[in-house]
Amino acid sequence: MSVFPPALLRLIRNLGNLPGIGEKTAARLALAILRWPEVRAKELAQSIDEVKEKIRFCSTCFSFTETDPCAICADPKRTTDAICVVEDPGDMMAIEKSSGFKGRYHVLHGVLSPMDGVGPDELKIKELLLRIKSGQVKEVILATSPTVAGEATAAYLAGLLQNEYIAVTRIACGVPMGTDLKYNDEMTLRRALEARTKA
Amino acid sequence: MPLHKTPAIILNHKDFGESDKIITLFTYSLGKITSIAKGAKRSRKRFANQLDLFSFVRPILWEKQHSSLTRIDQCDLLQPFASIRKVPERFAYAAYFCELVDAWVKDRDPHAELFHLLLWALRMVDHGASLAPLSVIFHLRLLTIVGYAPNFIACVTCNLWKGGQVFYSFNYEKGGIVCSDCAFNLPLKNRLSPGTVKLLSLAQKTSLAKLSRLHFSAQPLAESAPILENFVHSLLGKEIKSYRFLSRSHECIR
Ligand SMILES: [Zn+2]
Ligand SMILES: [Zn+2]
Repeated sequence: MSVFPPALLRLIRNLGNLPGIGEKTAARLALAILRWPEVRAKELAQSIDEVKEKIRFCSTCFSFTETDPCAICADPKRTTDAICVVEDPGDMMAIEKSSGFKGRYHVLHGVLSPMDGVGPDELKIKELLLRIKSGQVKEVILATSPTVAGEATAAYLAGLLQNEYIAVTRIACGVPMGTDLKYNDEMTLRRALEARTKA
Repeated sequence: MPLHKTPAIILNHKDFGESDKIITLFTYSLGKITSIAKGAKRSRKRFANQLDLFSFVRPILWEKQHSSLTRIDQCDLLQPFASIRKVPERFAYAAYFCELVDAWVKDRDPHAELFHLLLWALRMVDHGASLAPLSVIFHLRLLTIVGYAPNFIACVTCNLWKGGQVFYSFNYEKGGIVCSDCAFNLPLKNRLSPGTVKLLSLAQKTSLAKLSRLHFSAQPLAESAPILENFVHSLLGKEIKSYRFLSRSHECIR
């Protein structure tokens, strides 16, 4: 490694801090950046600067935004009746792309993860309760992933919300579109049957 | 590349890169193993839900050259323990038990008895067993299996069994009960009543299959849980993060 000059080493080390980037990949990326025209590299540096400067949490839904409230929370055409609770901004984006939901969101920024020391206080749960207490919400849709931790988080939230006078629903789990039924695992099939709807 | 096929319990997992997962498995025949599951994060084709927390599985593991990390290629789901995730408290205890085992065992050090204990405990959690007594029993059996069985037979200071005591105390350094004659300088909070001592010594010996018949009422639970927890944690000498979660969720979850 010591064949590289210090500035390049620094870049490699910084890139290596990114999730999923090992030392080799970091070196490959750093060398690619080094070979770029200067404007392109400057733009990368600037865009990193910019996200840190401009992007913050929406104080209502806790998604990333440049304005507070975010575009979704500020959109008068979206109903305030329903809040869809998701793990992270990526999940919110995925639901947005589906155009299947016209309400508001709430981003938890994770799921309960006892072994990582992530409990209710580390998630945006208090903030969700406050939003619900404001009285406009009629339905909370729990859209955490159907993983053990995601399900446990949904169960925890359902327990917290059971005494609020609102509907608490959980997204359905079932057979993915375009798959052959017999290749689904037993748990998925069982859940798909439980969540069946009138044809 | 040698291949292993062994029953295993998923102790933990974390995302690795865009699409892979690093899985910590407590296997029956190899002990604790860290394994990489390529594509597990995105593709549901190969792994569906097998590699999620607490699952009892039978993976096929490949040894990698120049690395202690194994590769997991295929995995049969033996028991998903699907009810654990439905109740936050069950989830918290299952995570705690798995973390305790993870903290206790060294890599590639098989431990059949501990494996059976964890599997039994997860089954009990999944079946909706009372969690506080289960946790006391889990600590007790864990200690016994790993060679730190607490002494409930005789005072660890004078080596005598003294019946008819109003209370016994517990000495962490010597790992056992202390009679009231010898317990003058031990903290009051380490107290165990004779009934509790008797119950704990019974719980130490009873087979796992019959353990669920032992009844722990509120007093023995309140006396023994903190002592056994402290004893295990002090032997481990490191923080068990799930324990903090568990203590807090006792306050939060009703
Ligand atoms: Zn917002
Ligand atoms: Zn004594």
